[in-house]
Amino acid sequence: MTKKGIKKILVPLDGSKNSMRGLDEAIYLARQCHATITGLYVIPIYPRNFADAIMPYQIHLKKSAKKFMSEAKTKCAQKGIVFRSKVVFGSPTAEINDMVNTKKFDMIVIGSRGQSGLKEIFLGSVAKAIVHKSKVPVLVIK
Amino acid sequence: MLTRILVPYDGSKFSSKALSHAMELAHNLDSEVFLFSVVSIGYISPPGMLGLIRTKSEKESMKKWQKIVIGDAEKMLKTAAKKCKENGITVSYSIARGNIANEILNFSKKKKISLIIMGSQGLHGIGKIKTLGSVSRKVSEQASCPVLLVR
Repeated sequence: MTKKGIKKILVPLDGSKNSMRGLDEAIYLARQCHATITGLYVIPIYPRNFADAIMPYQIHLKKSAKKFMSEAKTKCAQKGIVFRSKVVFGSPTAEINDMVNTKKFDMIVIGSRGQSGLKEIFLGSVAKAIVHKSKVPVLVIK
Repeated sequence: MLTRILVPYDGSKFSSKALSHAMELAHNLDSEVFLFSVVSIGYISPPGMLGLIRTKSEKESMKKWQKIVIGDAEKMLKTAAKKCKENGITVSYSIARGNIANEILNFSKKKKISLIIMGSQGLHGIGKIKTLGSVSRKVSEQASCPVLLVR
């Protein structure tokens, strides 16, 4: 048996159906391995640049983020799993990678497609970049 | 939910890492592990050799080589399966011939696999430059079940 088990799981969420499916799978895994889940939402805008023009959009995004994060939290609480949520600004892939490297996660669970779902065949851009870049195991949920 | 785990195994260090991960998960999830290896003809003969084979003796030697390679694969899978059994995991293995990615996808469909655990790359390529192997890429894109890529 391997020495270290899966203790911390990172679930990048963006409120899409696919990412929620990823969360379901993560909950199942966390239950079996006694792990904690961290939900991460990256708002894909830098706040410094033209802040005034996109402010309403940002507020809207933040609100929706709060909504689906609380949804995720109740989902986890029902199954008895510790859930932490985090919302940051920046480029999704870079932020997710940073998070994994600094906080030492054991696994990433990600939906194969996020909000910009076009086709079912290939991976989405974020999922693909993470699969390529991450140093820890990545579970891709279809 | 994840009761049937497929581990494509080719003996590389990535796939053995994937196997140890699979063992850990199977232990926690009480699931069954399928070890799977594909022997492709491209591995056996040097590229471009197939067109040059004409005489009977050459064909026979090709067949012999194939047999040897399959035997080796079986040996490799047997040792891996033994390792699993020592940890108390139900395990079965099989070998197929043909295109690697396609065979893995077919197998996962046929056996109703619920999770594929594979290394981020296999025996080919330069590990430091490549981030994802060709087979891993194809399987992760086209598989209908969740795929766990281990590196």
